[in-house]
Amino acid sequence: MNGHLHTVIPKKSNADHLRIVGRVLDSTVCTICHDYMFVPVMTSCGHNYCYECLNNWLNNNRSNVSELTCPQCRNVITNEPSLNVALQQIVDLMLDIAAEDPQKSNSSEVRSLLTQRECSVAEYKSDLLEETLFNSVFKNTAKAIIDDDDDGIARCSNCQWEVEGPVCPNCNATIRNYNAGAQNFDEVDVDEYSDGELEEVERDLDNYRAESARTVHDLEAEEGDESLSSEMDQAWPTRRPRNFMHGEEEEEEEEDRGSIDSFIVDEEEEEEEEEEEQELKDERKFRRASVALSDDDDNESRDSDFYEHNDDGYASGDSLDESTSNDELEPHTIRLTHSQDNNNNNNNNSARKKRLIVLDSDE
Amino acid sequence: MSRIVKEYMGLQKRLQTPEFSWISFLAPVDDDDLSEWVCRFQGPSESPFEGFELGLNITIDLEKYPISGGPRVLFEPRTVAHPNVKWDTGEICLDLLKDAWTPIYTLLDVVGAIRDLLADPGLDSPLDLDIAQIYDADYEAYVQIVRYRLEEARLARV
Ligand SMILES: [Zn+2]
Ligand SMILES: [Zn+2]
Ligand SMILES: [Zn+2]
Repeated sequence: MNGHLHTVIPKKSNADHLRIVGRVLDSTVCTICHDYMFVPVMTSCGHNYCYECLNNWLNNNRSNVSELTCPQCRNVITNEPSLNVALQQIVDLMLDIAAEDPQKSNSSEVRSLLTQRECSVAEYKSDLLEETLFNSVFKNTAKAIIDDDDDGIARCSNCQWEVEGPVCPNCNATIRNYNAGAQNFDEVDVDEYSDGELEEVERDLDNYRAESARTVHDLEAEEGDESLSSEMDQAWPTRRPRNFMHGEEEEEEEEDRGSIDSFIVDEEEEEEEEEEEQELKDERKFRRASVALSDDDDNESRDSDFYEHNDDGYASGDSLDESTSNDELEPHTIRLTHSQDNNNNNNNNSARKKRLIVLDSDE
Repeated sequence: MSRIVKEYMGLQKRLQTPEFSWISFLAPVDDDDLSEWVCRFQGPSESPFEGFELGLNITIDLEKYPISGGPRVLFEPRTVAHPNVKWDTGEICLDLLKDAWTPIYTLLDVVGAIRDLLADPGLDSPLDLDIAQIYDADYEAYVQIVRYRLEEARLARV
């Protein structure tokens, strides 16, 4: 190799070389465990973590009723992160050089790092061979299909089990159209499907209906009506999607934000004219639902997922993540006045009086 | 070696740097148990908290930290009047400590975020509606209440 940097950099001063080494060393440290990344994996947003750390985070994150997100930038991770070979080679080289040094190679620190590397690599290789990388969260995916002929119950497109959250409780599939902000499912309508996908889903649903009918038929033939109902419950769960924990008032707004989000995600796939048409449609829908709540449409569509999660009593007041914070907070000041006028006026006044009295008596 | 041990080992050195000169104290209550910490730090300048020292009690679930959850952090009870702090308990309402937690945050990040919150309250969903309303309607009155309360707490401690 003989690029310009290959010529210039080696001739630089010691101080520059140290700066480079320092920077490179820092980039080999995982921001989750603060250890060296012996198996660095990179997300689609370009952030690196130990395979083990990211795997733990994603699988923990997943059970928490939310989308899979990058710990550093909170981008939603939809594709399986891949091994960052270049970074791994750098980490390997560093450790190999440290281990070569006759004095240091005996040190317990180096030995412990060598063991650590062995374990990390072994774990990754084993998951890779068994095709269970990241506990298969990126392989096993499905969509929730809400069928009006079926009482509007949301079902996993993979196994037809009733789903409520981001993971199918039966087949463990990640539900792709789960909307963490609204804690609901984005509607799967014809527009959002490619032709092949739509056919597949319809075939699945047809099969499912046929199978259910057969199950009922078989059960009726085999057993009396009384045991039927309990068997049915197992074969065909009848629970309806739960009423999501937050009050109805806010739900409308959140849901609509959701549909706009899903539109944004899909927009690249659409033809341009279709895109405009869809945009108008979505916008109308959105305006209709949000009139009652807020007049600053602008704010709604800019709101990041991050803040949508924040609808149950947490201040959005602060975050270390500059990119998602401050400018989105301004409009909330206005809302405070709204909500207090509506709900808390009496409470507040009496509470305030009480406090003022307390203050007086203190003085 | 666990993450919290790594943080603990590098901590006192980092506290010496100018970046963290506003933290007067951050350490475990007992060096053999990294689940209970205390912190004292200077209120942010150009805020009503300027010139006062604030105390935090921090609890870390060593099983869960940092992957499945951040530390639990409380102000010393009945010291901080702030829209996002429960007066009686010192409970802090900060997204970073709840839904917005990710394992890249460290104890120092958390303390920094709490300090920033003092200067810049989130009025979206206040814990203390009362103070939030005063903050919104009459900022000068808010400043007076905050400083009066802090002064009171300081005198009580002496
Ligand atoms: Zn790691
Ligand atoms: Zn990222
Ligand atoms: Zn399923």
